[in-house]
Amino acid sequence: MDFWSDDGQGARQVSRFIAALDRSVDRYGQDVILRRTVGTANRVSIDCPCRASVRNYDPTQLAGTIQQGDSQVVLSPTDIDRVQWPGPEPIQSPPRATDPRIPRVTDVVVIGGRSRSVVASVPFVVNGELVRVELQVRG
Amino acid sequence: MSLPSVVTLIAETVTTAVTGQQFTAITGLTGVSVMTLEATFAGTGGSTAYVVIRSRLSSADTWREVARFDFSAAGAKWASLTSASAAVAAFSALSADSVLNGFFGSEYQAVLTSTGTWTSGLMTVKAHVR
Repeated sequence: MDFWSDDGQGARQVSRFIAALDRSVDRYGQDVILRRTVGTANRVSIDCPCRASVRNYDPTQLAGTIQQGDSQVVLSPTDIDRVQWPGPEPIQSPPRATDPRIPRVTDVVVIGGRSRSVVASVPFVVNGELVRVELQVRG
Repeated sequence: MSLPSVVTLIAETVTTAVTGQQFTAITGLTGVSVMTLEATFAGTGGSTAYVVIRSRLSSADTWREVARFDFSAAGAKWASLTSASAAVAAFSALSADSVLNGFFGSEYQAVLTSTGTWTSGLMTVKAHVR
């Protein structure tokens, strides 16, 4: 096999990663809302209802920026893509370098009716495709 | 991919005047038969602001205007696009606060135009599709 040709295996692997995460959050996760607020004095919220795995950090993980009470939220890109969150952005040239689907530290996740601020956002990209997002949330 | 319930077509701050600012498209909305649009505008001090919602059948086709919301002050407006049958007609640019019914493409785009300088201006259009 040519070293540079993966015969589509990379794309299939990405699909498998996402499907496995979808099954996992569907079975063991909970409903949350990923929310971005646009505007300053006047504001509007852009919501993405999604399934997510939410868990508290283990005491051994409390180091660095992770504080007691913080939680880890694992999201699949499937729900984000379904509503195409956070919505359109002005077409600019050159296009933005960062993936707009990746939550920012100014976003919040509503878990059980409680708004929790995103402290850190880690995207997992395989073969150029977003397959998973891990958030550290607080509040 | 199943249809989402609500999609945001534009949520953008408005300050200095812009003419025909295009936004990235919402794609993959096939099978829509009804679209309820809610447009809200907030802000003071400017003159006018309007947003045109355009649709096209596919990424290879031409954008067609399907809804237009005009504001000269803060407010909220809505419109419902339905799949009511219509006679053959030519496409044309929409006049203020009007819609084109029955043309449901797979992609939607907002185009923003404003005049004057708005303070805390914010234009939003969300769509409920089914």
